[in-house]
Amino acid sequence: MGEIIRLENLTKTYYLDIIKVEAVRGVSLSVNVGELISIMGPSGSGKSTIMHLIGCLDKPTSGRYFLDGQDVSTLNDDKLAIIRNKKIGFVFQTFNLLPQINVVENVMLPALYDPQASLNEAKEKALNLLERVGLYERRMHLPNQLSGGERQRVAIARALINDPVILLADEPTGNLDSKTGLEIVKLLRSLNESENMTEIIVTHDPSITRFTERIVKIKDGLIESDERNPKMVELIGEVEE
Amino acid sequence: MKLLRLLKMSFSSIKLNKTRTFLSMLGVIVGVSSLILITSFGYGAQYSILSSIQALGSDVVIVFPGRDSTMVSAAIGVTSSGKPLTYDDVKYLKLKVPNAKFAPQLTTSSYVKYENAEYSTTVVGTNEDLINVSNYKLKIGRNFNEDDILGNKNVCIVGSKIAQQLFNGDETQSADQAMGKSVKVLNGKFHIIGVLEPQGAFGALDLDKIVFVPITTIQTLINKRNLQSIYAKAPPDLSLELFGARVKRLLLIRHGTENFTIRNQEQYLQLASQVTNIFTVALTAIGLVALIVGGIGIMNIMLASVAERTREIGIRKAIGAKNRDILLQFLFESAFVSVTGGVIGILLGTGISKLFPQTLLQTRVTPTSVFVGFFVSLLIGIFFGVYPARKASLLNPVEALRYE
Repeated sequence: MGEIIRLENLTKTYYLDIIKVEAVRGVSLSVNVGELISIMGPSGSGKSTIMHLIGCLDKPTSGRYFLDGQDVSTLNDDKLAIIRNKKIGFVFQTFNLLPQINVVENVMLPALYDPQASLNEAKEKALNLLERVGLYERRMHLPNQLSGGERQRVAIARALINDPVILLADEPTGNLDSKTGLEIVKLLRSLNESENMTEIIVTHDPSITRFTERIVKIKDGLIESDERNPKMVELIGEVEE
Repeated sequence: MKLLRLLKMSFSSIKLNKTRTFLSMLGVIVGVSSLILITSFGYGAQYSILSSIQALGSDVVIVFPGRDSTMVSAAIGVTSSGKPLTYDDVKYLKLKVPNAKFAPQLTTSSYVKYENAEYSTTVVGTNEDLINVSNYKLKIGRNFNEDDILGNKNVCIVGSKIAQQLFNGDETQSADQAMGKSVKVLNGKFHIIGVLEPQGAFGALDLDKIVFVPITTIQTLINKRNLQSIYAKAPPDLSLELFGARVKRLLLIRHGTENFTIRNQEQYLQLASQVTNIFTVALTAIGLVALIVGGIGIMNIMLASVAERTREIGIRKAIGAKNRDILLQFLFESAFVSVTGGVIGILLGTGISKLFPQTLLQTRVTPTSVFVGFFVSLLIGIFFGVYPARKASLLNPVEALRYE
């Protein structure tokens, strides 16, 4: 298994007015291809900032970040945009679909920002992905015509359209009831198993972390613990709730 | 990012909020249509004034009473004091320069009546030289002669529209019918001796609605001696410059001082284009102000739109939109809104300008004003769109995503 992510002593300091906030104070982490990791931590622990750094939405104050073998810690805005477009798939707590365009257009959106992508291929691929997440029938609906779980599945399809090397999910079940949330987690897990997709899920919900093979706990901007999950449940045969 | 895809994205946002798009468009629609409309007044005035001055002919000078008068000041009676111009001046000039033509002008407004038909008109007292110094041509009948003038005869030559209005029918028929009929003008009965060819309008004055009568007759009827102007045509053997100087010298001898003004077509054209150019520029400036106000409206609404769509911008950036993609998307939106508003404004302004009765107020929509309207609205859309679009493009994706 090759290494896909390596964080080397990453820090992030920002200022709220004049108050200096050391959100991340030196984090080193290595993630291999195909791993399914959950990052846990109380609010204010710095886990969101780490997520933004890994997602190339933010630049580290110091330290180095290698994604897919490339040092991305010093790239400019445009290059980071290209990295986000091609190598990273985001799934958010609030789904973040665009309300004015329909499901298939939402799924295609990242491909629109890739000048090399052909729109016909993107559309075909979007329809396949919708099939995969079980929403092919609803492809022409607008996001506000879908339930929360359905919206999150559209968001997952969107995250996969440009074949990212890593899927980042930030509290993906935070706005869902426990049953729907479980379905989303199972979908993420099955993507990990069937496509060998590397996934990092940020959460504070223990019912999610039990589906992940590795749990990283963050506290006060530092990694508190990083261990294998001995109690990881299997998807098949697991009947709960 | 391919431009076509960005354009499509801009359209989907524009479609999403039709009311707001329309409202921000409205400022440009009003601005461009008023720009088109008011410059059409300017160009219309310019066109009608210049063409009527050109119609004078290049060998004609006009004498006005008073020093430094213009056609306008003479027409509204604002002249400096001193000896006015009289018909005696005309007779004197004719005597001294026999092969030149001198037509006096004494104008008043009146009605013209035949049986039950009655129309308001302009009555101009003049002499037999009028047809020689101006572009008027007789369609039928005869010019005034010495008898008419010397004898204060109640005869008249009427414009083509007067004939048509009083003696229903087409141009030729009505002219034939008008000949020899007696019409009532200024409380006197006048015998129609001629009908003129159609001429068109001179500014607000419709030249085809004029009744010409002998100068001596009108002087008696309205009890007024002073002429508004004398139109003088140089003889073939004399340059306009020399002729003007000669007329000036002769009048100086008669009046003692220079209490009159002599102008020729050249000076008039210059003066008129100066005046109408200032007029048009001033009107255009007013229109541009309206357009800038419209542009500020667009900027205002785009700024509100950027704030409202902060989250959308965050999402787009998170999935790979570059700053430039966001900038162009918003810039396209404002440019599209502005240019569409501009095109609607051009159509609307042109339409309204056509609604004006052309005899009252001539309007002219020139290709220049259409181009100016189009490109200014495009520029305004881009100029006032850049700031909001830049603001959108520079949003931090993390903060934009957090925005509620």
